[in-house]
Amino acid sequence: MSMPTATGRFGIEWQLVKGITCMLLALMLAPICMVLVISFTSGETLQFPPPALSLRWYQEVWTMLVGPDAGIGRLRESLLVSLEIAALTSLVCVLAGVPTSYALVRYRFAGKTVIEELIGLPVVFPAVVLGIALLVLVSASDLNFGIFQIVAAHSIIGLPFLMRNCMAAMRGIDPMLEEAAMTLGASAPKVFREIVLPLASGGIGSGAILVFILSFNEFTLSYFLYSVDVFPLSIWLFQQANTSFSPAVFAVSSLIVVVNVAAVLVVDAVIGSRGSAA
Amino acid sequence: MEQNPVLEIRNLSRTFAHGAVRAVDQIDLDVQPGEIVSILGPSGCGKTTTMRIIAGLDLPTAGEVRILGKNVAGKPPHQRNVGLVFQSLAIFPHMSVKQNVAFGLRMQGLARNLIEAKVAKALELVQLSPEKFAGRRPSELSGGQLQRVALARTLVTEPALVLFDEPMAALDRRLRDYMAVELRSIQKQLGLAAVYVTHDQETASMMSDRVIIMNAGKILQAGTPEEIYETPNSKFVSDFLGDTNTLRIERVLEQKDGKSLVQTNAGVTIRVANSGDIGEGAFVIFRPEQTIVYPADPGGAFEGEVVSSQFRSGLHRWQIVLRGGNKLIAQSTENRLASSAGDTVWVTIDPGKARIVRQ
Repeated sequence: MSMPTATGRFGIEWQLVKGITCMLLALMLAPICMVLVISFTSGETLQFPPPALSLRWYQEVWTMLVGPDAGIGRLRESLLVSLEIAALTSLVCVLAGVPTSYALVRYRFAGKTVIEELIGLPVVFPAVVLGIALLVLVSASDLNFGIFQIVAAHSIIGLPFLMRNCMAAMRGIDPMLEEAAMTLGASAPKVFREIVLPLASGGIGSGAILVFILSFNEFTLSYFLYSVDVFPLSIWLFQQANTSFSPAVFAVSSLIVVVNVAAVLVVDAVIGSRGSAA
Repeated sequence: MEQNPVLEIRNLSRTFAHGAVRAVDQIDLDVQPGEIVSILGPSGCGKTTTMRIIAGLDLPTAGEVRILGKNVAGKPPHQRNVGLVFQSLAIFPHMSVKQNVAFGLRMQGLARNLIEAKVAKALELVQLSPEKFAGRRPSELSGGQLQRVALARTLVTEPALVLFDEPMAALDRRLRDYMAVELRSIQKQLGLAAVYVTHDQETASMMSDRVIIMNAGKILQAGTPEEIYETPNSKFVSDFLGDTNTLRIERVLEQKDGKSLVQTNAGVTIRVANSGDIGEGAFVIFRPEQTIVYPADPGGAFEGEVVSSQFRSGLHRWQIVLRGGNKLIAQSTENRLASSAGDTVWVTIDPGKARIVRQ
C-alpha cells in the first residue's frame, strides 16, 4: 500500500469525488427508501413520514397471499405467474445461451460477428418497440401461446445477459484443459460435460439468476403481452398503483426489493467463491 | 526379431495461411517400442505442431501418421491411444488429484474398484503417496507435484505412445534435471515409447535415445545425442547444441582419407576430421572444450588476446579474440593459464574433433 498523497486523499478533488458519489447514491436510493419506510406505516394513506410504524400492511399482504379471499385480489396468482415466467425464461436462456456461448468462444465460423452483434441488440433496442412488434406477431398468428408469449419476449432480452456471463466464464477456461481431456479419451460431448460445464457453472448460474431477476421485474414487454389468464406481478402492481394506492402495494414492492437484493447477493457469493477457488 | 515402430510419420506437412507458412515441411520420423525420441528446435520450428498432429489436435495438410501400424487419419484425439503431457500441465482445477488421475480411466468406462487400484498404483509410480495426495486440490500442490500428477494422469491410461510438450519448462534447472532423470527411469521401467518436444538441449540429451533437430519446419539432423553433439551437420545444429566456435574457410588445401586441411580466415591452417564438397561459405566448427590454450607459442597455434575469463562449476572459460578479429571460447577443467584480460595466448584445436560444415 502506498501512502495516500495530499491531493489524492485530502485534497479538493477527493472531497469533490466523495460529494458527487454520495449525492448520486442518495438520488438512487431515496425513492426506494421512501417506499420501504412508507410500507411500515400504521396509517391508511401514503403520508410521509408515516405517523407511526407498524407491520399491519405486511399482515395485510400476508392475508392477500394465503387468506381465504386470496383468489379475489389476484396477488397470489400474479406472484406465482411471475415466478413461473422467470423460471421458464431462465431455463430457455440457459438452454439456448450456453451452447451458443461455447460456439462463439471456441469456434470461428461464417457469420460469427453478425451473431455477436445480434445478441447484444436487445439491450439497446427500445422495449416498447419490441413489445409492439411481438404483440402484432401474436395477434396475427391467432393462436393462444399463454404464458409462453411473455417467456419468449423475456428470453429475447434476457439472453444477452446470460450469454455475457457465460462467455466471460468460458473465455477463462484454458483450451488446453479441453485438449487434455480429449487425449485422455473424452469425446466432445464428454469434454463439454466434464470440463466446460463445471468450470463455467459460476458464470452460467449467475447469468441465470440475473435473467430470473430481469424477467421477474420486467414491465414494458409484459404490459403488451399480458392477458386475463397470464397476469404478472409487475402488471398487478401497476394496476393497483393506478386504482387504490394502498400502503399494501408498498409492502409488496418492499418484498420484491428484498428478493432482488437477496438474488444479487447470491450471484456475488457464487462468483466470489468461484473466483477464489480458481 | 524386428518389432514394428510405434509411430511412423511419412512426408508430413502442415501449412498455414493457404500454404504461405510451412510450419511442418515434409518430415519423416519413426519411434520404436521403448524409445524416447526428442524433437529439439527453437520456438516456431514446427515441433509443437508436429506433436499436435500426432495427438490429433491438429490436422496435417499432407502426409501420413501411423500408430502401431494403423493410419490414424480422421481419428479424433480420444480414439488414438496417444497420451499427451502438456507444457501448462492442464491439470483440471475443479477436480482433486485422484479425480484428475482417474479421469482417463473413467472415460474408458472401467469399474470403480479397478479405477481406485490403478490410480493408487499410478500415484505411487510418480512418488506421490496416495494417502497424502489423493484428496488434495491442484491449487494445494507445488509445481513439481503438479508435474507428477500430470504424468500419472497420462501414464495410468496406458497409451501406446506418450507425447511430452516441454512439460518441465516451468521448473528450475535443478528440479528439471531431477525430474528428467526420474522420468527417464519410469520410461525404461514401463518400456514406454515417447516423443519429447523441447527447445532445451540439455534435457533432450538427458532424456532421449535419439534426438531430432528441427528448424523452419524441416528435420536438419537425426541421431543419438552424442552423435549430434560430436558430428553436427550444420552450423545451426552445432550452435543449437551448445557453445560453438566458428571460423570461416578461405580455401581447402587438401582432402585425403576423409580428412581435410583448410585455410581459415584467422590466417592459420587447421586439420579437420571430415571432408566433403563444401562449396562456398563453409565453416570450421569446434567446441570450447576441444581447444587447448597455451601461455607461449607451441607452434602452429592461433595467437589471440584474452578478453575475459570465468570459473564456473569446475570449468575455466576464456573469451579470446584472435589476431584476425575472430572470437573464440576456450574451456578447460584445469586452469592452464593464470591469464586475465589483456594477456596474449595461443590456441590449438583438437584435429580429431574440428569439423567442416556448410553454411
